[in-house]
Amino acid sequence: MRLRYWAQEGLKFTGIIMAAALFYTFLMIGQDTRETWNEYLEMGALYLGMFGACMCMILGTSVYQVHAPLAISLGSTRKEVFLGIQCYRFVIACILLAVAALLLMLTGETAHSLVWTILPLGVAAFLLFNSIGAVLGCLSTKLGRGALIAISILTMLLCVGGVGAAVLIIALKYSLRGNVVLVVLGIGTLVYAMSMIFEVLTIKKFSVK
Amino acid sequence: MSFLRCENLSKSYGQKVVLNELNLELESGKIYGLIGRNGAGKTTMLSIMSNQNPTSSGMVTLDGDNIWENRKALDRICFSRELNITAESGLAAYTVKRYLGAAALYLPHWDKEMAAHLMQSFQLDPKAKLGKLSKGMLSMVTIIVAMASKAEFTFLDEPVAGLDVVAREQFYKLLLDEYTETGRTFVISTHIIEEAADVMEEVIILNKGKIILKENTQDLIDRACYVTGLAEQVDQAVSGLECHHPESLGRSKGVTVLLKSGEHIGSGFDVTVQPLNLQKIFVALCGEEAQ
Repeated sequence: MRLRYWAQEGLKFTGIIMAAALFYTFLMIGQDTRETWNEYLEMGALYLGMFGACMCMILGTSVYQVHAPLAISLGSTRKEVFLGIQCYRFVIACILLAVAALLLMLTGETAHSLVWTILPLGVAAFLLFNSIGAVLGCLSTKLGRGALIAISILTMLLCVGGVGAAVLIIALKYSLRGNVVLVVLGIGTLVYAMSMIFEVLTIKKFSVK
Repeated sequence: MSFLRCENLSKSYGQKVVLNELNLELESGKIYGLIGRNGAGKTTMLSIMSNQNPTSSGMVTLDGDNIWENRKALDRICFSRELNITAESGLAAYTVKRYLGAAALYLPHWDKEMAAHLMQSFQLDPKAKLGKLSKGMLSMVTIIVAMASKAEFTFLDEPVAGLDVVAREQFYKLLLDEYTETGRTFVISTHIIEEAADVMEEVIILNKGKIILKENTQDLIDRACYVTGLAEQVDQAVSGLECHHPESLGRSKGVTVLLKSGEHIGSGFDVTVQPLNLQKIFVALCGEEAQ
């Protein structure tokens, strides 16, 4: 029952991200700079990944500024909040990755390339961006408003880096070998696990202000 | 009968001690008034009693079970906090409907009909954003959450802050109706003491992080009095009694006296004895350092 709130919020933000990606894709179609329909679909998938990754970081902060205090003040336990945050992130990541994969499949992308290269890299990217969001969110609870300004600047810089990373992933998707992909996925998982330890420690003593 | 107990509760923020070895027992089926000066620790105490803040030491138990991260216990407690919506607060973008929707998802005994009815009677627009509401309207939202939660132990922090006199009367009536109907326990923290005194069955006075008094409101009013007269006459009349907040004006003196069972103001002295209301008693007990 208490996870429902987090799932609902996750779905809401997924919808916002998808709407933004769709808007930008249509903007590109309107400019008529591309030649084929497949390129538009690829662009849609790229925008989904980019916006999704950026939002994961931003939402990481809002989780600790809004959702966690609200949940605890309405009687949720910290353990439920921790699980809720994971649910929130995974709802967003899973739907966006699934839709992006579907778009790429429509372009004629092979199942082998999707399963062994693009999706693992996408998962790794979401894990990394969520980790950054989680750490920034935890820091915002301790450092206050000044830190939020610094966090916003850092987030913007990271978003720019994120765009570069996403473009790089697309460029490298044909040349990356399976073991390199697995290493990247492993690093993403490890960094996410470490950020979760930081989150557990923060939530354990979380105070509603 | 259920009991919510604070046992040796302490809370510090850095070097600042907010609650100091506090002990308190709340019995179910009563309306408690929690009063104290600004910064006395009222909100911190209620936060800790509802698992919203961790303690520095001590614990809170409900029928003997520690409430910290205890799902069963938390299902019986609701602390509807004062909503401090600032421009940068994420809650500012929440509509009343969305906020109450979140409350409905979290609070297990949520009364949807009561929430809808109260929203209508307070004339709150469900589509209005919390960030656009006045202080009084935000108080109405917290009242709705507290009342519709149907929690056995319900705490309200400054529920009438910003409310106009009509809405305040509406709140007190609502509180008494709900109390009569369900026998729920309410703890109401307030600064508008005289108005709330009529609904408080027991009064809890918190001062500098300690409970200095917890007593039936009427019994407290009955045993309190204000003695005035010439200083030497007053001193002799109240000799040996519990005196607070002495005030001198020239040769005259006034003092608040709390009589214990069987005690009386000394007779045969030229002094005037007046009854006191709860607000005056509170000032006498907590306002000494303000002189």
